[in-house]
Amino acid sequence: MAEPAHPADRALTRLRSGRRQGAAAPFTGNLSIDELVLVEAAGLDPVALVVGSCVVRVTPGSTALLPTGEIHELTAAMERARARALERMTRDAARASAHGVVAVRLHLDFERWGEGLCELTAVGTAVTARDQGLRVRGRPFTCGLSGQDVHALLRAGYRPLALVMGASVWRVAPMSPGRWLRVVGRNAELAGPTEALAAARHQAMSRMTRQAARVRAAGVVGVTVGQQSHAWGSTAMEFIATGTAVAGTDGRRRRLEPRLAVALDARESHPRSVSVSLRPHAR
Amino acid sequence: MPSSRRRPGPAATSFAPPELPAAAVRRVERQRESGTWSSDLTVCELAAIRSAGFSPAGQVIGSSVHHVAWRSTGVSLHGPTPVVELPDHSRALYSARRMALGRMREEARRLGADGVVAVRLVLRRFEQAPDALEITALGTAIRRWARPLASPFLSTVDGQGFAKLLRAGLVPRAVVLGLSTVHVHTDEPTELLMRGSSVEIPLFGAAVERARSLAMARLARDAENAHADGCVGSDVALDVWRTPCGLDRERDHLLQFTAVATAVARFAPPSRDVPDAVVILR
Repeated sequence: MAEPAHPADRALTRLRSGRRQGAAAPFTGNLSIDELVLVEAAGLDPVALVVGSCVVRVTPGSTALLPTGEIHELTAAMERARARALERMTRDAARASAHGVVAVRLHLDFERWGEGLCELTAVGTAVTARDQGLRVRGRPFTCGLSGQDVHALLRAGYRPLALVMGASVWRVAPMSPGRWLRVVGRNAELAGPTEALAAARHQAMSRMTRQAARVRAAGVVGVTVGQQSHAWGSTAMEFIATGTAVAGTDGRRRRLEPRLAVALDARESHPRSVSVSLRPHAR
Repeated sequence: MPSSRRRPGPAATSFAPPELPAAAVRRVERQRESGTWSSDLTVCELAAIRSAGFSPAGQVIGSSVHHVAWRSTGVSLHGPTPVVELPDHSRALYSARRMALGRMREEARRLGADGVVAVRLVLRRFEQAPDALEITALGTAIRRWARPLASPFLSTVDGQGFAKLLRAGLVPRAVVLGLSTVHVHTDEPTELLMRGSSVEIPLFGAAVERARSLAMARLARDAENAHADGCVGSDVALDVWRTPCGLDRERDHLLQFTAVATAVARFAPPSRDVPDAVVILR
């Protein structure tokens, strides 16, 4: 019998016949439909949703008397917890004989377990690669990019290596009374906090870059630099830089030919404006 | 308690065509005879479904009110290990959703549809009876064949997603569920750890892992039972509540892992390239 031509008829015929052909267990994942289609087209087949989590107790303790600077113990605790969550996720993927994990998301929850407790979760979709070049030394790659970005990345001739990150937890001490007197009633740059915030951010970014160098990356894409106080209030602030380390796929670099699109919907076509909201300072 | 229903017997968990309320039967009959259809599709979804070769058959709904409760039974609950599953609770959550989905599927079947798209599960609790839970499944039935499938497919993906799946050689088969409820008792070593400053709490990590692996294994089994090749659009959530331990303060935790996904079946090999995908600079 000839196969019905229309895909809808083939689809319904498949449903009517019931049994599936492949012996492999059904795949799962955290990819959207678009991501699934694009990731498959890029030569990666989803295998399973993989998760790694780590519940840690992280409290800044008494920092009231500390000067402005890094709280090394907290930085180490946060970095260790993230690394463990990622490590467990990767182990999950290796157990599923996957070659990599895409669309990795890191979640942080400071609320549900109770005071001072933080749950770190790494979630991603483990994939197998049809392309030999993406199967690296038995250790699955990790990639924080979306399915769309993975598709574009592979087509542009790069391959993801690892999710890299750097953290730095700082305490920014309140101004001394002498300093406060010098700026009160004037609008001036606060040299101390400016320097402290910049130093903390650079520390996080350079730690991330160091991680990328360790996996011999050509570069890091999709970097986000954020800062959060979590549940620590004003006592401590974490700066975190995350990105995906990538390397070129030798000799098989394909050129992407982007098209310039003129969008007719106003929502997206405007450049993002810089907005400054002026609110009286809390203190 | 006036609104608490009796626990579902074994019949509730079997998947024979479920009984529909009389009102639902009348509504479906009327809709079928009227020759028109209703839907909660957006215009884009409608266009997408048409482009995939289907047309809407009508809006379908199924619901079920369950009594789902958990009460601390104190020390006896945690036996040799501090992490235990509460299978009754997991099963109740599962069969409540299953029954709602089953009734919705039955409505679709009576409408002569091949499947249902854009299925959503809505949970409602009642103020007067906090342990009673109403689960409603809503979706739009679609059809193509004059002699429809004996068991219409269900899918949580929207109209556009459905059209994209078909192009990629995949067709939705069923809504699959993975649910688990795990109780974790904070034992003495953990209590001690929680007095330290920056340390991992291995017990809680183990509890999350247990809840997740139970739920995901059930999701996979559900998909396998549906003869599917994979699951898409997974909606995964972990809820954690602090609960009292016996008469003690709130030191225990209750974990509920919920995974809802659409099981898909492959009818054509995945394409090596997406023909109409273009890279746009914007």
